[in-house]
Amino acid sequence: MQEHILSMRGITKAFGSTVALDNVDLNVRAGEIHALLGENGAGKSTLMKILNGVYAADKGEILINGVPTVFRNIREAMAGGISFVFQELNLVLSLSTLENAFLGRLKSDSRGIIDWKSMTAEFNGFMKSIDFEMDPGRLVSELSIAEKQMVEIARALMLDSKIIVMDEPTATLSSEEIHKLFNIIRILKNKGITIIYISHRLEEIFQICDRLTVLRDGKNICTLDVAETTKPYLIEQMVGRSMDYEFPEREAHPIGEPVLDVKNLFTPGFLQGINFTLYRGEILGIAGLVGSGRSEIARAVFGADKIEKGDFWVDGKKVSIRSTMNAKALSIGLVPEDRKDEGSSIELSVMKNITITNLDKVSRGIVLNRRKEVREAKRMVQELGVKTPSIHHRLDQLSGGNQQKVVLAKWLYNDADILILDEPTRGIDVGAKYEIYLLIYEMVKRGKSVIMISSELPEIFALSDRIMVMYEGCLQTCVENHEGLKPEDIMGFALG
Amino acid sequence: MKRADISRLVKDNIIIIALALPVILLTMTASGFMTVSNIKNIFIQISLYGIVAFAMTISIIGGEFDLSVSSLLGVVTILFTDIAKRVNVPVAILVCVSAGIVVGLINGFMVSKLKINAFVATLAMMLMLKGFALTYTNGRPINFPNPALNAFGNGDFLGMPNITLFFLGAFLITWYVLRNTKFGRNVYAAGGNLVVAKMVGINVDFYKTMLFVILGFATSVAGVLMAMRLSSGNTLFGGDLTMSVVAGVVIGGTSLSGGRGSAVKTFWGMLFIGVLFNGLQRLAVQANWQDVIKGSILIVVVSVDAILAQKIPLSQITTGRKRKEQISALPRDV
Repeated sequence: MQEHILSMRGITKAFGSTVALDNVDLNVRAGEIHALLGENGAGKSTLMKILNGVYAADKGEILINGVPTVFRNIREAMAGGISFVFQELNLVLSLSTLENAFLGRLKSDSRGIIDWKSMTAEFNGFMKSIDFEMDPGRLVSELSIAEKQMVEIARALMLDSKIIVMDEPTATLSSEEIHKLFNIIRILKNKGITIIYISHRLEEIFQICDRLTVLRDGKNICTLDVAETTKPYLIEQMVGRSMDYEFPEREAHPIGEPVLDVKNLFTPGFLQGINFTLYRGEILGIAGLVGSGRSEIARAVFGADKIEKGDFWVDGKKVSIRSTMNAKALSIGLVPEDRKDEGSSIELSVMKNITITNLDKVSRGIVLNRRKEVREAKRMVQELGVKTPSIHHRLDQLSGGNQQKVVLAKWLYNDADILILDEPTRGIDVGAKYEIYLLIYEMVKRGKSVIMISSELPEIFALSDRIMVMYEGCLQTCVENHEGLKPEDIMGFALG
Repeated sequence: MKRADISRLVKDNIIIIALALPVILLTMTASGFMTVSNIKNIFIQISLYGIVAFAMTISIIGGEFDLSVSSLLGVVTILFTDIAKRVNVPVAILVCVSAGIVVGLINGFMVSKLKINAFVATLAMMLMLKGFALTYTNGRPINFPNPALNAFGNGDFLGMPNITLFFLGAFLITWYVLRNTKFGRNVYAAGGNLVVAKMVGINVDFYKTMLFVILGFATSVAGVLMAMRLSSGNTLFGGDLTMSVVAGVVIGGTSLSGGRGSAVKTFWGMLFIGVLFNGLQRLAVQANWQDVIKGSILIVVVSVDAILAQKIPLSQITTGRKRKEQISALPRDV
């Protein structure tokens, strides 16, 4: 038996009456890449938060190299050789890349004067060793989400940790960047560093992980060698029921007349003359790397960003979209990329998040009709199958998939005819993804039109009627999605 | 009852507990505290500032802040007395209310269109108004003893002081608007997360502007009433308005970070301030010490609130009013 560098035994944790973890074991061998799998709410994050001391376990013990250890906070964990790359970015936006990379351990001389030179040298040296380019002086607020993630990763990696926990590190990365990250992970593995890898993307598990542990509803389901298992088997273990397909079967849906025409769309320093048409009942997929201008199209069409020039026609009529109010009035809805900061108000209740797009519908004059509002919200929650204790619960009480359904619900409630979905399934689990796909089909069947932006090519292929590919602010191609189309063709366009 | 439930209950009603303490202490120590005339007195003391406090509640929930109300109040008292003296009372009222709304519009324009930070924009406005008032009056008060106006400002209606009726009216309107109107809901949305509000097509510039207009309007009403009551207009009136009002709003429990709070909270918060002022006067605490005590109490109340907020596990938090269907009970809403 190989030596376990980290052993969590019989971990139990309850929050009030909900048991988040029930007698969970996690045994990680030195030098391996160990995947931690499970749907949202399965207990992965809670387990990691017990490891780093954010929560205290009710029962159970943690052994590091066989020695019982308890970290009281994340600093102690870091000092003990475990570092964490979290899904939520913990960066100070107003500081530079370099300052963020060394946050909390800035180097200084004996007088307390910061030693910029040696930090810059170390940072550049490190970036070089992982074959990544980054200007240490740039403000983090100017970086793309993917670059921010790289800063976060660099910070953890430069700590010289023995164990690195990565919680969905690829959720916001483009495939090129994921490729780079995997190279980095392999370099780390060769250096003998142990990695605990949390991800929803099963393909990634098969690409880089050695072993895996599946959790479901706070319980251990299995621990396996990756080589011994298959994707369908893993999905079944995670979801607890057999799922034959990752995507719902395609159903023919009638495609009608043009509903949205975009002509010659330019945005300052980004989009370079985009032309496209969206038809009634169509799912138009937009592929491309992160930063290729996909989200910029979405934001421009929704009036969220200023445009330089460009004309829009909705239902054959020339319209002006200068603000989100214009777009909403034209029955356009946007589910933004950043669910947490732009898509929903996590402090508001489920109901208030849904009805926010159209309070007129539940008001008489200026006065809200609360009963009607409750009724409408309940109807939407039921229609979309949002799992929530009540419509009055705060949105941050819901799992990611259910939060996303609420974001969708608010545009369905407003009866938007054109829905723009930017990364609609990012960071949500297999089961919830499937349900979102079903919802998208349901919408087009009702005659709505959908623009779907995604970094996951399989998703684009499975759902789209046509696929547009973006590269550096330009529209590379727009093709019918037919049997013969291959992912490589799309990737070719996406890479320029 | 679970511990979390208890701490939740305590947290939601902290202001009432905080209010009960001085009330009990003062009833025992200060003779004449618990009398009808003194309670009436307390309400009179908080009524005029209270009108502004409710408007400030709306603006803080909407994520904005206004420092200029303290100068505006003085300007309004001056304008009112001067115009009432030279022209007539209706014109004076019209001018004052218009002035309040115009100041609000300018503040709103600076914040929503020019994207100036509200703190800076209203600080500038505060200085300008103060300067205007001093130029207008040469720093001297303007007196206009008019028996009818004075009687109205100090009068009662069915045993209630007239100005307290205005205070209660402002309370009810604010409570209703925040809770039951589209306007109120959108104010919460904009204050809670401005980007989300924009992304669902709410006209956030309009709402931001309206926050200041409401404040300007409320301040002009308070100013007119104050001028009637005191038969005088003075640059110095309202010097401590911003601080007293913000203290009342915050002690009541409305979050300075926006998106959370209510008129009811501010009602209790202002009452607390009133009891405190009254009590310190009754106990003959020296004026300078009074400020030290007020400041300390503000810190204590707000920190207890912050500590309790951390103690409540997230899983217990719901929004919306208490309803049978809810699984984890004890929510608290606007």
